[in-house]
Amino acid sequence: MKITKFRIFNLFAMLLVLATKCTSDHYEFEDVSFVPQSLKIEQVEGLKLASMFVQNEVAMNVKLSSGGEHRVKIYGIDDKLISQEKLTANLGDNVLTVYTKILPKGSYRIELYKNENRLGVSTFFKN
Amino acid sequence: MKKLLFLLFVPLFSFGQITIDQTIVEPAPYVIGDTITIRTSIDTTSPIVFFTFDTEITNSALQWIGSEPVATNTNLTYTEDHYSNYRWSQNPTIGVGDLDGQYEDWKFGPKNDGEAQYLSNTEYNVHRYAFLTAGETLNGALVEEKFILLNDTQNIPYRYIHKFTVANAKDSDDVTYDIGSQVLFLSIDEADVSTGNPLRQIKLVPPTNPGPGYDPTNYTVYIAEIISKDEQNYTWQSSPKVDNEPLDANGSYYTDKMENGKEYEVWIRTNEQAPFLDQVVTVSDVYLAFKNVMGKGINNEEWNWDYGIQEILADVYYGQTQEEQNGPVINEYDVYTMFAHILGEPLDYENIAIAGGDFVPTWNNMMDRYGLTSTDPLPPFFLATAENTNEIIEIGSAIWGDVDFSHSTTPIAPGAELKFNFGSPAKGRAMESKIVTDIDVATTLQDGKVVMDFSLTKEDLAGIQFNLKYDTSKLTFDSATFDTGNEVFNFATPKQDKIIIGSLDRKGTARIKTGTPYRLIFTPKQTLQNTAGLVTFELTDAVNGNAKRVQLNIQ
Repeated sequence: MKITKFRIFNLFAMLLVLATKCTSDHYEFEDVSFVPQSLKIEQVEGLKLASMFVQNEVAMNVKLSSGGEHRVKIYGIDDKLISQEKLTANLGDNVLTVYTKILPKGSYRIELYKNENRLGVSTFFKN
Repeated sequence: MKKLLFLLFVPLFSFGQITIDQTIVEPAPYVIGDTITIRTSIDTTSPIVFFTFDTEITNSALQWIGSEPVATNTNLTYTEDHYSNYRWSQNPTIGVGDLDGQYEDWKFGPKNDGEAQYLSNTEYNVHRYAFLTAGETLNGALVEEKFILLNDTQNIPYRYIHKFTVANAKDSDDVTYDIGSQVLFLSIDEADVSTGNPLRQIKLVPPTNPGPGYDPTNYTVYIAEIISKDEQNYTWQSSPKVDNEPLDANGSYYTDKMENGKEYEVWIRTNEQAPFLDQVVTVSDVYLAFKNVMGKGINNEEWNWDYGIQEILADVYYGQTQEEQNGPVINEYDVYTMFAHILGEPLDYENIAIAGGDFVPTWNNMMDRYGLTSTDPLPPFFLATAENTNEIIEIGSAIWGDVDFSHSTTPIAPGAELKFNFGSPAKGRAMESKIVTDIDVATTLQDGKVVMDFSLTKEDLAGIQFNLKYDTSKLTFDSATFDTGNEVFNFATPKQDKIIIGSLDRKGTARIKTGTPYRLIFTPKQTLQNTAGLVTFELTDAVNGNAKRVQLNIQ
């Protein structure tokens, strides 16, 4: 059989169709959430606020190196626990919110825990 | 020798370190009553855009008037916070002058060793300042604080009256810097202070174990000159008031309006708007009253008051016919009135003496007479003489209903304490209880609802009360569920943005079941990703079966 340019073209066309049909239609994308520069955490885990001076709420990044239940605790200057949340977040960065509207004017410490281990800490001032 | 001196005076910090210092703007000498200005400055070559520091003030020497930022940076964000009755407890393994080291240790929270944390202490206040620029370097003078110079009663007057405790500095990349000071402790030479026209100090004696929110700046002092008095009939006349002013953070007021040779009545009043008023009468008070008023004979305890004044403070309801005819009677009307007050029920304040009405009923007297219920009912009279010019006029004050003295002065006058069984002290000592237990309380998102669970492991609790505050712009309160056993009375009262939840045993024998006794459920008004800060704890109170206060530490 004489191999002509037409036959070569057809062969490539058939291979292309086969390749297309044999490819799975399930695509996997890397789960990348957008983290603003002000909330980026260099370490593998931790907690960071978008601002140290807050009014009604402030964005918070909770970066985790493992899954499971974590706790976010807010303390006053006298180390008394004022508010506590139990949360289950994803591995990596989790951009969340700290609601500060009902906190009296003052300075506070916010901490991230898994079990008894403190994974991150930050401070903020409520005006 | 010069070399040695040089070495001694070389700054104790490395190059690049930030130095924070303080100075009194007005030159010495000073007269008691003068207003002085303490200016805090930093000296740095580092490009810092954020700076925060704390100062500890000795209340006996300085009365704070106000603060003003003097940093000249444009677009400066500034905040100041003032905390009454706290004292810094340093970490001794870190240098006391290593201010950023102390800050980092404080920031990482208490280690249950009493170090690098603020502890309650009525002799000191703490001021915290913070500065943030939009990129400009912070340097030079930061803030000026104004104080009235007082007649200091420390052993060494005016020593270490204004101290730096912690500090933190960051540049725009969040890099932190070392911070030290050449004037860590500010003192004034006693020889530089003269008495001038001496001020008399009137001081409210604080509670032995101050309850939540206690703040002496919510009290005022009232002084009027006595014109005539009849001690037999307990009547007197006085002039129009000579003073009516608020107390400072130390619970003191200083006056030059009392003349020697004249007698005055001196009263301490609690402001009707004091934020702590809904934390004065709590389950520990009501349970103590149940045990002592209604429950005589419960647990074979016929009497549990420590001081006679507690019986009077429990007499909050005086509208009964029986009482009008026979004088004060303490019975179930009083106790249920206290209980209704906790529950937020509308009360007939015409016939009730309890914090929450149009005025705050209090019992006052000089400390040497305060708490005496039968021998000396005269009001707090004070005769000013040349001999007692420098004496502190100490006054005790109690709020009606506060039978556990959480926000009231504990009496010390001989005869104020009740003694039974041939002179042994009374049994109760509720106000001196040091029982502490942990409780786990947290919010979480569950099926679109915000759920708050309370996990209790402590047994033998006869009463629990939580005052919570929630963000009404984000949440609607749905419901409360109880799993406390079948014997105690449970309550959950929403009041505007607050919820009062708890339980109380009214029999003297029931106890709150451990496990998860309470669950609160809220509906979000918007989609939420998390719940941090939406519900806060304002008050926790508990009492055990022996009517002793139990301190609940939320974990």
